[in-house]
Amino acid sequence: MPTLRELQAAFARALHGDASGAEAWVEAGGFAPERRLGIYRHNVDAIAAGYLRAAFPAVTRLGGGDYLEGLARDYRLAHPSRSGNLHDFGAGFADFLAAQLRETPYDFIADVAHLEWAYQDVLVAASARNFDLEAFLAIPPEAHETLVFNLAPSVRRVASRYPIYALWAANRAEDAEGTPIDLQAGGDCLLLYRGAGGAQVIELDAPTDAFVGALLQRASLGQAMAALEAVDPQRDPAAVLFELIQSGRIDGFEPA
Amino acid sequence: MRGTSALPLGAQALPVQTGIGLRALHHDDLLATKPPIGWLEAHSENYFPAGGSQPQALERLRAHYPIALHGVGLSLGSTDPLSSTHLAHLARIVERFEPSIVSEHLSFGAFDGIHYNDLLPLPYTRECVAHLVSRISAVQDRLRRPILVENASCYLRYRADEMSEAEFVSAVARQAGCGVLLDINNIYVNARNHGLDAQAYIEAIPVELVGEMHLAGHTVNRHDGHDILIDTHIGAPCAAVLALYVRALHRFSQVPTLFEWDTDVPDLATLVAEAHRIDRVREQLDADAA
Repeated sequence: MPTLRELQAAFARALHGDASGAEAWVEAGGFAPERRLGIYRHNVDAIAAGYLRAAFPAVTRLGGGDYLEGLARDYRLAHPSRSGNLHDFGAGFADFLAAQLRETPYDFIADVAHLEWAYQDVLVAASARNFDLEAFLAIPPEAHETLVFNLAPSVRRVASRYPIYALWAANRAEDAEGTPIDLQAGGDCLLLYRGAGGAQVIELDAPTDAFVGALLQRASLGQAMAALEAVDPQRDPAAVLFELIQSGRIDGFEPA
Repeated sequence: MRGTSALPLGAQALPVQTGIGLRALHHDDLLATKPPIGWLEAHSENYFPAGGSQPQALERLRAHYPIALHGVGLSLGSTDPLSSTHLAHLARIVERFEPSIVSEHLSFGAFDGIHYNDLLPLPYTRECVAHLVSRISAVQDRLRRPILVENASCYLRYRADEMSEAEFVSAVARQAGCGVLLDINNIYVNARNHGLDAQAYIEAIPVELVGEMHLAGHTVNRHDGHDILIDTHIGAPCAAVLALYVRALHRFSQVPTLFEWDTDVPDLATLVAEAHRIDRVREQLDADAA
């Protein structure tokens, strides 16, 4: 008789397509053991596909038909879930798609997947703290440039050479009509965050993107200002900073 | 154990009524209309993230309804180490939401670090009973409260089985000091799939162990000339499952029931109407007994 560990090892192999070990330990009962194990393999694939459809609705529509059903098994085998919480399962999907679609006319779908995963992440990210304006104002102005500003936990940045926002907006709803989008219409640089009104997606202009990009890399305010000025010397970095604070996208600061 | 006998201080008791599974698409409707239903059961893992609208909605809903937390991802039966991260998340939300009941499944879902996010079947062996008892005890110690464990639907049986499923479930609960969440649809599904006597199963479960019951719909698939029932949680329970539920009510009359509908989830009004229909089954039984 196998041990519990041995039985589970054989069952796991069956879920990966090799039922030869587990078959001998399963009662037939008028129905072949391989077929019985196949029900579980099918269920696990269906759970993966159902999850991906829910988390990546625009990718599902853009792929068309049973696109995700076909991919779900390959994805779960290549990037198996490492958590009992299924939410985490989608973290590697956009990169998986990018590898699948590289140098094909459909590589834009992977960029839409990056946007959809960022959106899922924003929905469940920890809430922002209240920015301590009083503490900030107590710091001598000459020391401001040495501070490192913290973006709120929900802030994500997604960029693509394709118009991914339009692609996503046109295809994410269950009843979306799939309005044609010109793939050559120019790329997007997007900031996602969760504010009082829920998850938000806004377009970043180039100077703000440079500023936010620096903050995401934990640059000091002085370095972030230099990055912004390199793109647009006329842009006021203080205005950009305070807009980010006011909107809750920056929720704290600390010394460099 | 009764459903109301293992409450942490401050938790509301679950009424002996039918509750419904809480799904995010019903949050707003529930908060706006507050329909008269007994209680709500939330999937624990959906509330693991500290931020976002889901935990906020549950905070608001628990002001109006008693809450139970039902986990699907702890993998009690796995021979991998118990996930301290998963357990820490569970402990945090138990502390935050003060549910009347915390429950999990008698199944495994992970092997060698890979999670299949499904409820995979366990063998009914003494080794597996001892393994589960050890794991459930660890969970209860961490949560500082007893939990309920649910009998799972199964599409196969192992040759290694040393006891019946009812004996297995009872042995685990007795030795671990936990309660049983008796899923009537799962008993029916397993009885049909494996040629077992569903009524005998119910008769074999000690009354004092059962703290909650589940009801759901299933799907009948046909393979190689055989029907195989799949626990899809779709639609209302069929007449045969309701008949089995009536038998269960004769034994477990004082425990709350949950109606689950997870596939092609309908609007809230449909769910509530079905919960009320199940309530009337119990009420009729009570009236007949009076």
